[in-house]
Amino acid sequence: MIEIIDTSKSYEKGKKAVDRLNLKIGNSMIFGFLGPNGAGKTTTIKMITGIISADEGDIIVDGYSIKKEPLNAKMNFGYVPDNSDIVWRLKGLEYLNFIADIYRVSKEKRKERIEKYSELFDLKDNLNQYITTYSRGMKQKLMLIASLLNDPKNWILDEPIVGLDPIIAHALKTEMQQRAKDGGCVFFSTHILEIAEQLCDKIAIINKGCLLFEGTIEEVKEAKNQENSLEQLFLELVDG
Amino acid sequence: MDKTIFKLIGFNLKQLLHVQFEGLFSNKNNKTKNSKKVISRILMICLLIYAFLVIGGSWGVLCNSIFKYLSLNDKADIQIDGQSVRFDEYIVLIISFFFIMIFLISFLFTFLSISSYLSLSGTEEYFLTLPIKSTTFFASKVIYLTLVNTIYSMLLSIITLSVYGFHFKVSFDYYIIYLIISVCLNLFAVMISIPISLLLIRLFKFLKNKDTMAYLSIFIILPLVIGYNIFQQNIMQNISDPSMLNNFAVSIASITYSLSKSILSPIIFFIVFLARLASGSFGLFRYLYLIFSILLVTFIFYIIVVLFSRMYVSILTMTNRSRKTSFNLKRNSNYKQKPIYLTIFKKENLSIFREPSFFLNGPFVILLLPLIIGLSIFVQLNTSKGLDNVLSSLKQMPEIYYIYISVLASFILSSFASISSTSISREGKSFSIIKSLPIDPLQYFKGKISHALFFSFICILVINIPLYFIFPKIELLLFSALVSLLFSFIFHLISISIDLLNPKLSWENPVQAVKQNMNAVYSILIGLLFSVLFFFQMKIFLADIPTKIFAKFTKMPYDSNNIFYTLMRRTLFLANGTIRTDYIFCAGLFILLVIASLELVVIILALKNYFKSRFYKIES
Repeated sequence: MIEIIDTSKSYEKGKKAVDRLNLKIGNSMIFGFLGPNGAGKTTTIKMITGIISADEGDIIVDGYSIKKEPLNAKMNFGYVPDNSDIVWRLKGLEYLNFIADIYRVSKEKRKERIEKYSELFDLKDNLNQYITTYSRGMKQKLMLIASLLNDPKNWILDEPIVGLDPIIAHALKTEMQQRAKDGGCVFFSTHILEIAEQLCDKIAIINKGCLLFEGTIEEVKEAKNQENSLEQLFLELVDG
Repeated sequence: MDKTIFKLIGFNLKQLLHVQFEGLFSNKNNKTKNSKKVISRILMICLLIYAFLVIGGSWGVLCNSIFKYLSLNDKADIQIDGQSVRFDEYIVLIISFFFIMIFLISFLFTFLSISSYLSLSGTEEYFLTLPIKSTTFFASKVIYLTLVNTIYSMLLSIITLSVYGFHFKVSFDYYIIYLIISVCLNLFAVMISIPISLLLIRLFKFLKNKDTMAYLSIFIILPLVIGYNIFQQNIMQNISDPSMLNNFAVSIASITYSLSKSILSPIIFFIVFLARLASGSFGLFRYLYLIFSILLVTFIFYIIVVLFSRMYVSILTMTNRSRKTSFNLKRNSNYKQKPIYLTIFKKENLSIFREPSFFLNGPFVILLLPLIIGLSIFVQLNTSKGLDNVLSSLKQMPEIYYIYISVLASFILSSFASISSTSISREGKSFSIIKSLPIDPLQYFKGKISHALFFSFICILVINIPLYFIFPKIELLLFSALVSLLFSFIFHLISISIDLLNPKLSWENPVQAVKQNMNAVYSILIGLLFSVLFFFQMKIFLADIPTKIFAKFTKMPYDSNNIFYTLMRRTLFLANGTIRTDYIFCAGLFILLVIASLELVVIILALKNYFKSRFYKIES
């Protein structure tokens, strides 16, 4: 479970990237985080994962504050960044072992999970190659595998579908659904509204750092009192 | 000429300037951050000017000694390789020799850097999709390569000709001619280098690999740097001896003479032609010959562009197939669990050894610097037959110096290798991955410092093994290694905290993280400051205090004017066994060890919270 409590962040004085955001992402659900470019989606995800610190408010992951108990909070999620910029000259498997060491994953479990997920995301033949030679999609797959090595209860994904081919995108969606079914919490940002509509139990729409709506897709439609597609509703909400 | 060429050159230069002097030209609103960057860039420019002065200065002294000697010569005919050569021809041969060296520098720089311009970056890919002619594209690259690679050699050729002009009192217009000759000479070198480089890369595809070229460049440049160093030292030693200078001048003229008859004669012919133009041999016709030189170089440029532009584009789009190695994912040995600090240590080690820019500016310095300094000293002493004398006087030196040399050298090597001072910057954009992981900052820094200490240990070995042959005492070696490690530990803690304060995480090229990182410069300054502080600690704990104790024990008068050297003499007595002061010296060493450990504990305690809080504050 992830709770975002009154969280704000600004990069420039007087201009808030995220403004007093409140969200509660419960277990057993897929939560879609929607918004146009520059809405504050990635900033929010970076605050949840501790990459940047919030100016105000707090974020709680499974009862642990990312500010006060960052290590415990981080032990409870797996994260897939939007930009898989790995500059280290490591091979795919070396990177996965590095991540597994950080999460203290035992030898047996890491072997089992690396084999399982590299098969699922079709990367097993490339794990002996340097990451620097990987394509964008391959890096994305590596990040997906790495994020699942600790079998996280909370799975945070920033634009996960971008760069993936349809087969892998399908495998990812299935994995997301499976994890939610198993009681996990899946939180992801996306631009692709069809995917949100198809996958999410709940969505939140953010624009200019402010939360515009939070609820199920049906609730969004009810609030607008229309039977429109998510795309139309999204456009209406964002355009104000 | 197509205007696109200049636009492409401008674009490349802007990119280069943006990377090198980002803060100086940016006009962002954040004034504090910007002013910090400006200060850093100004310091960087100062370093660049310093490098120019060092290189230009030593070359200038070399030229000055030769041309000054020749200008005072009686201008009689000279015997070269059994042939009688007129004095003016002799001068031409000597200028030609300097030109050949400059030609070689430009040629090599172009050859070694060309692979960097042959990889298909995002920008290049985009340019290839535009309707730009391959000749235009290639011509812009050639001009850009010339501008970037001939900065130092242009400086050297201008210095050579200006010094010649000064001593031989040429008229003012010659200085303008010299400027044009310098451009022609260096452009000619680039024009010869580019087709040879392209043909070689076409033939041996592995040369297109930037990593291979980075390592290859070291194996080519290193012997040249050492060779030039030795060559220059020989000249400097004999600078006041006219007969030696004469022999030197004759021998370099002889080299040019032989080269002009070798297979390289067409290239040497043009170089000698330019030297003849510079020497004033053409008299009033000099402008005519100058125009001819410009036209010839332009013609060669045109021919190269027309003939090789297609090859350039085809090499640019050529891909290297990587060899697929057999790999079994199911093998248990692929999965080993390690403690966090060890896994960070491993990651650091793999990154630094696999990334040529990190390796060549880091661990390689540890081997390179002692090698160059050692070889230079060896050659210098060997030439002056002073090696035995120096070795015997080193052996007579008090033991305290052994520790001082060892610690000082390990500081200097550690700081020049920039391993700890760039350790956070080297993470680059991946630092955000580190921050999202459940890593205790202290474990993270433990891994980083262990890695830096590993290289300090190598530094200590590199320094202490030769020192051991001078002072063959194992206890001294162990003690000094221990003290060096302790002080290196403190040094790395401070270096990492500097990098942590303002890490350079946004870089596209790894060189920017190490070479163009001001934190590395600050760390070198701190390393030097540390050596001074260490010297005073040595003086207090190994000299002042023991001397006072010694004076008390022996009831000898306390020599307050010359404490340090008095103790040195007395410590020598200890070596001869005449005065029993071993325990005083040993007590001093022990105190030093305790003090170093205490300093380390104090610094760890002082920096612990800073490391933790700063780690979380960095936002890439």
